[in-house]
Amino acid sequence: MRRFKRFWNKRNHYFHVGAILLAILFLGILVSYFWLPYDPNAMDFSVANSGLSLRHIMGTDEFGRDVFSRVMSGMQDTFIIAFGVVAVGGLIGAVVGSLSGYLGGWLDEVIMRLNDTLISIPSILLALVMISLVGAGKYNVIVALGIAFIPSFARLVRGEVIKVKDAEYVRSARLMGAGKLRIIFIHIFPNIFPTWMAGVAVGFNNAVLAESGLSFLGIGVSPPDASLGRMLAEAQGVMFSSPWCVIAPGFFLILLIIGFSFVSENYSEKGV
Amino acid sequence: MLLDVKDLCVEFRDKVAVDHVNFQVDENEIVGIIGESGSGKSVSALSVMGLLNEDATVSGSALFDGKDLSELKVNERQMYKGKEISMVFQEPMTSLNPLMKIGRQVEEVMLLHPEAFGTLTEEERKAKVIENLTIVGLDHPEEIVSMYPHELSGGMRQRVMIAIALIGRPRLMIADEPTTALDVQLQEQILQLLKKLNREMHMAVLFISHNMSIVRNFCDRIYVMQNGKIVETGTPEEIFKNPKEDYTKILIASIPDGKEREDKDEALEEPVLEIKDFSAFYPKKKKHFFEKGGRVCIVDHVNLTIHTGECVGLVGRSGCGKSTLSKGILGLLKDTEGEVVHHSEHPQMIFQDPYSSLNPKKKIGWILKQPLALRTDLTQDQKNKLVIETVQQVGLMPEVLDRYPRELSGGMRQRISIAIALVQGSKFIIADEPVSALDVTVQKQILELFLKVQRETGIAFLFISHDRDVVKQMCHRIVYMANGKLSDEEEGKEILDKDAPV
Amino acid sequence: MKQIIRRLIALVLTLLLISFLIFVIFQIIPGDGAVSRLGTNATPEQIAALRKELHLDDPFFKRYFNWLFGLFRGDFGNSYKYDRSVAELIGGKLKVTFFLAMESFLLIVLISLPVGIFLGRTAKKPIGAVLHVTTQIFMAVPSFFTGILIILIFGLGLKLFVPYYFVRPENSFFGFLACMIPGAFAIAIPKISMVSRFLRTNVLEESRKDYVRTAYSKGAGEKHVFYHHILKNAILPVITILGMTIAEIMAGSIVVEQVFGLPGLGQLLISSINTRDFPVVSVIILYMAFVVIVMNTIVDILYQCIDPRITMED
Repeated sequence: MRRFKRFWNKRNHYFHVGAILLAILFLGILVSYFWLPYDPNAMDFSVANSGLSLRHIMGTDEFGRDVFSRVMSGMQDTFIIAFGVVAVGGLIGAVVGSLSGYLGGWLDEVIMRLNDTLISIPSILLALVMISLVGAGKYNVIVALGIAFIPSFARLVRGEVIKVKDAEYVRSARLMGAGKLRIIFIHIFPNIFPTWMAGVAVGFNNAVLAESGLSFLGIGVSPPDASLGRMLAEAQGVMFSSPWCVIAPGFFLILLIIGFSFVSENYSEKGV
Repeated sequence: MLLDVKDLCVEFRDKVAVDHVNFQVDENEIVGIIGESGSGKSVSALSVMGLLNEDATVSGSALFDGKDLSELKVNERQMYKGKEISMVFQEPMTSLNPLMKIGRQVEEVMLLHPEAFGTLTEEERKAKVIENLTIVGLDHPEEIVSMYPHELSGGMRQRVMIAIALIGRPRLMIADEPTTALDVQLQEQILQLLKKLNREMHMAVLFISHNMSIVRNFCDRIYVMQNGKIVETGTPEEIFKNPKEDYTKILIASIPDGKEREDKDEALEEPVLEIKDFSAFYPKKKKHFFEKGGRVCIVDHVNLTIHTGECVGLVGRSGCGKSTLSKGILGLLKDTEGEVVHHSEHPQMIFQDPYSSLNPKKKIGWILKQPLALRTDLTQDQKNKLVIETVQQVGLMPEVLDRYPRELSGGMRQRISIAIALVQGSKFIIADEPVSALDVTVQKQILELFLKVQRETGIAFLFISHDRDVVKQMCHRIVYMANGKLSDEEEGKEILDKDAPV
Repeated sequence: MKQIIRRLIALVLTLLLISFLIFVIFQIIPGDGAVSRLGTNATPEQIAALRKELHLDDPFFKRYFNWLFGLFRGDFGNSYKYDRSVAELIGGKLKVTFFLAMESFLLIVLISLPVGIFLGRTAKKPIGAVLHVTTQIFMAVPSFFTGILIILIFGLGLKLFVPYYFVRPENSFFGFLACMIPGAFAIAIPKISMVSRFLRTNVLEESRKDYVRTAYSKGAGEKHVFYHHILKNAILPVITILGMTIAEIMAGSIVVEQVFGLPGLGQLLISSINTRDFPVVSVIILYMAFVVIVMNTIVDILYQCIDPRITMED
């Protein structure tokens, strides 16, 4: 608790706002697993296309489904996918980047050449390539975006490893006879962890953006999963008649992204 | 009286940096302000120039030629800066705009002071730039004007800085540690230049430094600063012969006296390290994509033997290959020839910068236990006991084990570095400029610790430094290095002296 | 000069690598092109004949080089789904995506530089803080949602433009350019925020550097120091960031074309992915990667020409 307090006090207000926002959204997602005002897929044509009311605080869509319930369950998918993408990209990227950076030589040369090539292509395009091969769906999106995120994590971690690997305390660890893996994971990694965490926060931000983009294009998650991006795509047809169907998921999508970007803003200002 | 600073106070948020300070500079006088880091000497100088950030609260007055600078409006004060009072900074590498040609940067002073230079044509300004670059001793000034800062060496850049500070023919030049970032030989040249300008151009100099021996020879009058206050003032003679304050006495006592080490014959005959015909290379930068990389010889056929209990000094200017040699001895280089034979296990290295030599994310206790982690012959209790004993041996309290490196001062960190070597039971340590990043008073304590540890344990040292006085006091024997080659004493001195002061 | 040649060699290698990857991904991994073209009911003889016609039985590298040289000759192959050449399908759409991207890039350059300078100059004032937060929020809005909001607010609400109204360039070139402006804004707004924030950070960082103090010590005023010293140093790295936005503009255009109903490459790409029309997909992806990589190289070379510290190193 005391450590948390110190951590909290050291951050700026961007972080505070972002973290509180994310905490509220996360709590909402947790609650939505156990309780939602309506079944998100239950249609009720008697209330179709109704605007905001006390019974349906964000209105209903053309099939009479409760928009608020759908937004909450959509957030579940968005969040899970973002988490999966960052886990895949962040972990593999960290391993690739630290090996490449620490070992150097031709391995580094080859990995970085490939990495630079992949990094110059937008990750959504990379993901499109992969999805066009394996098809849409929640898990395919996680894998496709996760792989597409590897290069940027690898580059981030590699840069940090190279910065730290000639530090004098690493040299003296080598003099003490520590092995390569021990040096990478015990001596170096704790020092680049804050940067990696910043990368994770930015990664969440980008993953939510990329996933919603893919789903919006209709090649992301497939029914019955409904991420926020897919809801937006579906609602585009009715955006003139019932704009709340567009505004509500968009609003929550933006809240989610703002939460992550405010949290990571703190890191970039501290110059991690 | 040219400059009369009265009751100057500077506060940063709640921290008092300068506390009711008074000092004066007369016409043509060279005045030194000496103090350790954090004493407020640079802050005082910057406040005279009006260069402090907005978060500084300044009070008091600075009379320049009878006029109070602190009461001037911003644009009135700008008329003085660069024209009447100019400043030279510590870091020549970063003090010039990297994207502006040297000529432009010197000329800019004239453009900013139309009241003095407005009548000059462009050609006249160009000629004046070249004239001043010549005065500060730069060869080929015609070429230098169209160069960018990164094309010049540190010493040349500092000369350019001086030319910038000089071109307005100021009556006062403030020099804030102008030689600290430079090699010893360059230091001497820059000091000579400042002295020459002082004599020939009747320019007073306010010289800020932490180096007692420089100030002693260079200044007409000295102020000693500590914790934001001036504690003593007088001519160098008064201060050095007859210091009144305790702090001044400590400062003077901590100047390496250049006396040779007394117990010279105690070294044993048993070798701990033999270097035979050792050379080290760095890859040459490839000119084009397909060129096969060549290599540059950094260390050139070096032979050296160090015995148990011996302390060998290695002296040379920066870039002579001494750091490369030390890395080569420890096996940290890839491309080497010849042989390095260690007769002891765990050679250790103590680095110049105590801030980067300890892992910032780990506690001191963890760092000290690392070398013991792989040893199985000791129980956990024995390891803890050993670590605590070692910490005490280097003059620290055991509580320090629970701290992070950032919570320790530079001197304490260097003590920890020594402790790491002791914990490992090293018989041979390379110390690469171990005290040059420390304040003088701390320097003395650490040097004493080195001597004590060496007498107690018989560890052999290779002590690398650019400061001959420090090395003399520490070492049994000195070798000199120049252009990658080692040479014996006599010859080496010549190498060092040849390029020295003009 | 050597730097530039080295960069160009790297460019060629990168493009070859990309083309190879795309060839493997779209020509080899999906399996038999003949089967997917004829459908599962085709007889083995029909398939064998088509395989021969399409040179699918050739050795791997021969197929790759044939495909690659075909690209050079302008032979992009044929669509599986439509009985037309890929070149024909792509032709008209290219213009839409190209001009959409150009318009967004221009908007980014023209708006983000002054905004970034303003942000840097006002960093310590309340207006600067408010704008700083505003740009961060703009940056968080995905471009397709920005597009939807633009349609709702400026199209439907303020009636500044007619949503989904598209003018073919053959009919009126200016009309064509004008009808894409809302889409260009949707792509540009998050990037404008990003670039101007980057410039702001640079301005703040540069202001703390030693050479700025030197400039003040010469007697320069605040404005002089900013415009003669800080600005150039702060803007230089922005060039690299601008180069990187090209990739994101490409990505953005795919999505935004869907929102605004612009018949560009993005729309074609999505429909081709949905119908698994791999020759079309591969050419569009290759084209986009090509544009991004070539533009990045140009930006890199440009940067080297401007920054004296790099050019002089040779």
